[in-house]
Amino acid sequence: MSELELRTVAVGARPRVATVRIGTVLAVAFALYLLLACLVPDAVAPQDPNQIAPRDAFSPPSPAHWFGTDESGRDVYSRVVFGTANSLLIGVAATASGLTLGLALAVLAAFGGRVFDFTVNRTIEVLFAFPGLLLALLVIVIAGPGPVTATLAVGLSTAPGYARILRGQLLAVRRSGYVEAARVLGHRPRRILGRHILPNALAPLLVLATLGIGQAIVWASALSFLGLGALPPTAEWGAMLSAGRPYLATAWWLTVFPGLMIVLTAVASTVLGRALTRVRAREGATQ
Amino acid sequence: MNELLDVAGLSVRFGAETVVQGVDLALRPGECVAIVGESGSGKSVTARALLGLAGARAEVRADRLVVAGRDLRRATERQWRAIRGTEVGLILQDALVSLDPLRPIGREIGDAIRLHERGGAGAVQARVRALLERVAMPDPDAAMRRRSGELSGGLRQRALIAAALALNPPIVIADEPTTALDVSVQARILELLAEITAQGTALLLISHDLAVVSALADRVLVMRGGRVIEQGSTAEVLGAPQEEYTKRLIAAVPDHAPRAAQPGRPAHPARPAVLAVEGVSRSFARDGGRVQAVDGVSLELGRGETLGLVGESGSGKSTLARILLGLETPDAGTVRLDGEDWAPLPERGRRARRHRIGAIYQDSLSSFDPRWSVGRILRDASRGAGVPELLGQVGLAPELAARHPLTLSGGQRQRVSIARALAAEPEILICDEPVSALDVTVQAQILELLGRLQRERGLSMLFISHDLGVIRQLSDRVAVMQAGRVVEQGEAAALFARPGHAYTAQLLADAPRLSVGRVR
Repeated sequence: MSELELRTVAVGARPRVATVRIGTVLAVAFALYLLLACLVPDAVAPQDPNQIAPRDAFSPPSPAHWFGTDESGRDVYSRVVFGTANSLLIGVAATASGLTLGLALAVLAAFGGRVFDFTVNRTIEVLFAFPGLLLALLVIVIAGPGPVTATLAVGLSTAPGYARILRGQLLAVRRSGYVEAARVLGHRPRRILGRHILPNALAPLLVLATLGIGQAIVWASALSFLGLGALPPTAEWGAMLSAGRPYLATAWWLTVFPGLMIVLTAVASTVLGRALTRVRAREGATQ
Repeated sequence: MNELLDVAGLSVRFGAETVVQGVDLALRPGECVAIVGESGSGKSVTARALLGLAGARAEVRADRLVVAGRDLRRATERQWRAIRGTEVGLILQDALVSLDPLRPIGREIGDAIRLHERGGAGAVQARVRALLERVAMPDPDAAMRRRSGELSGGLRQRALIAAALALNPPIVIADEPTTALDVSVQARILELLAEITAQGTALLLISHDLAVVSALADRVLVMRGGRVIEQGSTAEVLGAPQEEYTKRLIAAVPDHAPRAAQPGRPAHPARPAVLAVEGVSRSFARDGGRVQAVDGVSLELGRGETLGLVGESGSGKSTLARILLGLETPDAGTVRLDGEDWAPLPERGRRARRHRIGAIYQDSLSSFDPRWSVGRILRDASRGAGVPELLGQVGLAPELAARHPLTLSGGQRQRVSIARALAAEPEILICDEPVSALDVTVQAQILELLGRLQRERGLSMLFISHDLGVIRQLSDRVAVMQAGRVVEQGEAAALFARPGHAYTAQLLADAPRLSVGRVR
């Protein structure tokens, strides 16, 4: 029976490999654009983001200013482009710190014995009890506002989720047949950890990270919007949203475009994360 | 003509691949026809095509496809549904995945009745109860309220058979109905199936196990590569096979003379014990209580001998193997490796000696790191020998080193698993059901390979299996385990000829044998 199912799956899977979803293509294109905006913003943006021109203040989107200008006459599109690096950096750094902290907790729980496992699990549950953003706010209340604390705060609030997933992975791999086979061969624990347990348990990490970056950017922007992250005049999407808020009724472009970038970035990174998941699943099925 | 099932020229294709070609099949009331073949032969696909279940991507063609008087060549899904259950019942191999784990089996069986017939809740209940009685379910009232996971494998299979019989279908298709079961349970299920055919139901039996087939079938079809290559009465096909492939299948059934009686091997080798177990016990916490998995077991494995360990699932064989491998510490008793303490050693002390005991598992695939190629797996385990050399020892081509275990056949995987065990240069090999998941011909090859390697290298081998035929073929001595205890042990030939313990005698009696000229 299993041969039958495998065969039908294989027959059906072949054409699907060739099909690349349009959403994935768009997400890749957008990610490349973001990368350019990060690395060479001067090449992408038409103007200096902080160059003020009071006479041009509050001009709506036009061929000269694609996204319009703000209250000081600064080009919104240029600010969005120059803000990319700041926003992405916060997102990536927050995800990285969340994953690192999560991994540390997971390793402690999985290999530290019963006491550590119990302690870490209860800690994770307590952290889970707070909504993530609330937890981040709590950290900022204690550590004070600023881009670095905002990053760490977002990282900390995502850590429990990562810790729980990674702990499960580590435990499953540790109990697997191949780890036991390695033990029977007389290999040292460090060698088993390095060659089998970590590589296999951490394999889904890349996917998790891609899915997490979108969320981290949204949260970091939310903190900036509340004035707790990047501070003016730094171009950062959340901070731009916050600065444009008083003019929501008269100059919609001040808030819509940075907001759109946040949404598109989150969507693109989620779509890429899902695509990676599919690729991994397909590799697992056809290898 | 009173054929219930009349099929001619059945073929099934998946895309460009033809998996079943030109199969003719007829089934009369009270008759049992068996389709025999190895995995990939197309036997299961044939059975599923008869129920319209070959799959959405399958292209099924037939010159004639008549089930219970209805031509089903152009049947719609709706027409198929009317056939399934009412005209044809289906029994699958694994009852655990075939029954909904969250619903009591009484409800599950009652569903079939409610779907196809009218009747109040009380009437359905009574029908379900009668069905469970018919399949000899002990305490049917209690069983109705249990979920499938709460029943043992044999009782689950009975529940599944009851579900298949719920609407009294004139035809029952059983796809490997006893493959997942222990011998004694298997014997009861086979009796039950024989009873059902005696009552007039036509049975189409799909199996790779010739012994099971010989016990039940009137006629046999041998399938290979999607074609029926030989057919006839069971006595003809199994007694005087015409095709080379059928002969090989029959020869591969491990039911031959015990090994100790083979020429050139002394029946009573006086060998020093290389691995000795004395009074070993191990219990586990389960459901608030404790389960005694291994209970005061004493065994000795002599240098260069093969000790067969037989027992049904749950008898403690695998726990004992894990204790011997130093993966589990016994609660009481001693394990000695070459006269030195083994079990009480701390992990650090064991590690240096671990390579002396190699292990081969039933599910070799899960014992390989999923990211690694065959070559990397062997290099990782090797204590000097090169990968091509290691592959050569187990009869595999050096090109396989670059392949991934997932892309290998079951037999090739088990060879890689043996090569890995040998790469660590062990003196002792512990094989836990190493051939249970393999087809008979592949099984015979692996057993042959293990026998040869043992002779060449003077390995001591503990061979664990639930299959008496396999144990008999390979073992010098045999130990029989039941409920955590060794109830009997001795020379293989003597033990099989004159079992001393009632349980051993029962196991031997229940083991299906390839017998031609059956009387029913």
